Amino acid sequence: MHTESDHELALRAKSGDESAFNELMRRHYKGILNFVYKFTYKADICEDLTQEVFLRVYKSINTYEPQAKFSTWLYKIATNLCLTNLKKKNLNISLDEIRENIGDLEDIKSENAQNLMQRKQLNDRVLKAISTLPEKERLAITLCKYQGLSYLEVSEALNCSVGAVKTHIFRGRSKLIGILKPHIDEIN
Amino acid sequence: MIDEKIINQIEDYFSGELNDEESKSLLLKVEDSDELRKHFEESNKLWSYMASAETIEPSPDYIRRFWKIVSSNEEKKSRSFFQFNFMNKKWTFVSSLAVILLLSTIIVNNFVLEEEKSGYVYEEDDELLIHNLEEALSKNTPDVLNVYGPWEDIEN
Repeated sequence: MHTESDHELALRAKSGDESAFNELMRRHYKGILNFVYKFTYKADICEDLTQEVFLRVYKSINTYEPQAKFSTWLYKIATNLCLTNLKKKNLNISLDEIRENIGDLEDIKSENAQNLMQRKQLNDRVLKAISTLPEKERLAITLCKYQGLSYLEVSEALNCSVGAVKTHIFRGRSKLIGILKPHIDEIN
Repeated sequence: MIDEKIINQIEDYFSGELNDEESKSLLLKVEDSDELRKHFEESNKLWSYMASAETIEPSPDYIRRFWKIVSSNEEKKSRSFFQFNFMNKKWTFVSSLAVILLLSTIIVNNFVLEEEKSGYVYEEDDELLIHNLEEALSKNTPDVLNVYGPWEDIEN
């Protein structure tokens, strides 16, 4: 069975086909949601921001150029929205807030208390560590390591060179190792 | 001293940017050097640790919610279009009225009240005098000047 590519779906959505747009949402909604979540660390606003991302995509689907990869274009929109939101609301993340947000997301009944505690601690550490990075390093690492975008795609989303992306990731890596070293060393 | 190029390659490896051949070549170099192996393991542990951070699930009705927002936005847009149209009609009416009033004022000022502005008002006597003068001039006789007064006294 032929599975339509994002590109084909985007072109159909461009011509007004809502079912094609629904399929694009099914494919990318979770990825964008987690990208926004990892960047903002606000579980209460990441769903709204994700909806906003897709609303912008819907409104500007007419400007989608077939040469561009749909996911790159999508993450570019998401990145811009996250940065605008960050500047507008000056999202300062406190560790307490992170704990609170993670607490909402956990499915307490599904795991035993010890596992839950360990996962919660790990999340706390990772989220806190990423939140200390400068914007560009945070975005480059989130897009590359969590969303699986290539250097080239990240560079297009961030409007910078591939070399700059590598630098952001490398600098971010060094800082993250500095912060997480005691916990990383526990891993065998 | 670790070669910076290989350090970068290690990061490229973990970002999935190396092909199979490049990866094999890198792994051989890493095996040969303690320092490179240390760096490699450090990166490996970091990215594995980071990857174990949990992902969140979208709300089950996210597509329905999206279309609801779209339709409510479109409704707002059309409402504001109608409001704009209504306002447009209202303002067209008001501005037309204002133009009519302005034109009437200009016409009244320039033409009807011109006489008053010049400060001269015609009287019936003046009109009669002019009429008589024109009549006398048209006769082409000495009587013409009679209109200015009795001439018998001067002759005598």
